[in-house]
Amino acid sequence: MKILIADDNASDRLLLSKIIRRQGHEVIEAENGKLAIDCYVKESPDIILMDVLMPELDGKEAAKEIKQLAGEDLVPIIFLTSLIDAQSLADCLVSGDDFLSKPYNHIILKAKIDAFGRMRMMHATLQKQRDTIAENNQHMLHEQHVAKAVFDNVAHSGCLNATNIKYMLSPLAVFNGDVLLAARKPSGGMHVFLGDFTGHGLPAAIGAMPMAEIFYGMTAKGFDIRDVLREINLKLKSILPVGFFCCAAVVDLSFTKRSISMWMGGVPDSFLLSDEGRKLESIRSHHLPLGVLSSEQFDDEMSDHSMAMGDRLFMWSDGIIEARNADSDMFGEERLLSIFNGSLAPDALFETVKEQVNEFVGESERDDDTTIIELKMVDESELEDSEQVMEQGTITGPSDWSLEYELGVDSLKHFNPLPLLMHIMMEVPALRVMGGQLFTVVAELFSNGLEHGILKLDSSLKSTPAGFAQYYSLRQQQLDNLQDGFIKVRMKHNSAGGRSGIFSLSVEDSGEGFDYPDKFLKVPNESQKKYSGRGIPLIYSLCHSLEYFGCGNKVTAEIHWP
Amino acid sequence: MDKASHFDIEALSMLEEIMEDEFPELIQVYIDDSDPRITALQRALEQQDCTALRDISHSFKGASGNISALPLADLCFKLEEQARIDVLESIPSLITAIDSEYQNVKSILLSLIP
Repeated sequence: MKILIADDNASDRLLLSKIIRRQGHEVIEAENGKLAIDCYVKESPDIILMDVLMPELDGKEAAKEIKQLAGEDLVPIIFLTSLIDAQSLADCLVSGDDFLSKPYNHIILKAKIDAFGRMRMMHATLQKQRDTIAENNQHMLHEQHVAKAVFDNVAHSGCLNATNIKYMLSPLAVFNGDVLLAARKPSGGMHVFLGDFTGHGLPAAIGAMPMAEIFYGMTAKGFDIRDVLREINLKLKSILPVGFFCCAAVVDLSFTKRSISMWMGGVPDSFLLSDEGRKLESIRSHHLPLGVLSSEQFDDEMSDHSMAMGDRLFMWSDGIIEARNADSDMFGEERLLSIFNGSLAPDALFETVKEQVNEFVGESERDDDTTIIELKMVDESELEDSEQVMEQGTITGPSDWSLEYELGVDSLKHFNPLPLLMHIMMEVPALRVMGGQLFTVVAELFSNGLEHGILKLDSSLKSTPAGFAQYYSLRQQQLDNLQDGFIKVRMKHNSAGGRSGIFSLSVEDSGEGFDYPDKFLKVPNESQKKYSGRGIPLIYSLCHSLEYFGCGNKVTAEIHWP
Repeated sequence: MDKASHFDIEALSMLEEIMEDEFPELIQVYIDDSDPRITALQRALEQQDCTALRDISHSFKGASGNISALPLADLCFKLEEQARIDVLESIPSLITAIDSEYQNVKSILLSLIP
């Protein structure tokens, strides 16, 4: 280290510098306080040993000035003193960092220099880390800023500004764990989605991005809200880590039928206020949050509620109820309910809830995102200008096309092709309205091919609950052991001038087939009931025709529209 | 001359050890600094300048202590204290004692170097 000795006493200086040089440090000397400051500026020493009483400028004044010049850098100053009263020694620690009494004890001197050397190093490390952190933070804020802009474009491109919607979204971080989406349906009506991801900030927002894409994309293409939910659930299930999910309240609002269909998973009760504010009904969540269950287990059952003109639906994330004040009390359901049970005009409720929550929380730190939305039943014509026109992917959709899709053993084991096949069919506008029906047909025929054709499972097992479980464990076991096999799916669509069309779907498996009664059956009859294991009667009812070929390992269904 | 009555013998030999070949230089610098102090003390006494008496004796005390001439450092400390409280009666005799002690210290130190 480089050490500055400031002492007007030449013999003391000589002795001290000798001791310090012997300890392996570089020494510079100054004869008074003024020269000490000059030396500090020129040589920037690591540690300064300074006599208290010096001509020109005394040690304490010089120390003050040097400390000021050093700014954020740590320059330890050790006062050299032959004063021995406690107050004088204590004074040394006001303008300096330590003192050393004369006559010098070289062992203590060495220990002090070493200690301050360590402190200097620690300080330098701290400063460097602080600078790195500041730099990283700056960088992160910039990135978040850009990401937030992208997120807002994706997540808030809907019709939240419609005149029948009031909402509040309060971001905890730059990003929000709560998501609020609203979109007008091409066929009229509106889809509204309130989501609350576990966690908040960036990790929560990442899940919101694909979710918003699916919601807006599928709504614009005319998908049923149930399909949108299924797709979002599937997506979240596949991308979110275990333990991460999205609580949601989802509404399909029909202005013409004056009703809503609701799906709620893991969110607090929603309130439906009707009869000009006189009747309050709470709607309870009955489902698990999105992203928890597999597609097979997922339940898309909705509850229907009628809404007269002017009726209002209030939904919120648990952030409202769990909002805490400075004393860590929660806002709670009771406070919320008491606002609704008060004699406020329906119009004033939203603002009142908002104000009371904000007032309650005050300056204390929010520990969750607080989101609330009010949805009012109005005449659709009132909304005319509230939404920018959604960009349509394809306006008319494909009309004449065909495809063949073959799945080998590995794909059969690990991949569910149904969403992909559905997606292709749903590109055709006329088929969209039959989404549910088509899904049933494709799902049945595909699982027939896989479970009965290839895996040779006996469907009669499924007639008892115990057998049902056995059936599925057997299915998994056989699938795991599957060595060879394939399923070929062929789809073909033709339309006559967009007014009518024929969609045909063939599923062929590598199995041994089965003994089907007729090659072509337009209408199912009693004798076919024994094949109910393959769900054939149901498919019959949905299709224009159903035909088996070869040994029964290939089936073609035809669906006509309109 | 009896070294032990004017020095802390142990400290002095450690000083010699620490300073190595610079020991003679240290002695020379000490003497060069201290000779003028004796004259300066006498002048300050004539002028009854207590501040000067205090500052010189303080600095003389520090230097002498570091050179391990502890009895001399003690005399300087006594002078510093008297000057601090503006008591002048005992100062002339203290300065005489300091002068005589310093001459002893000086001749012992000079005998240690070639």
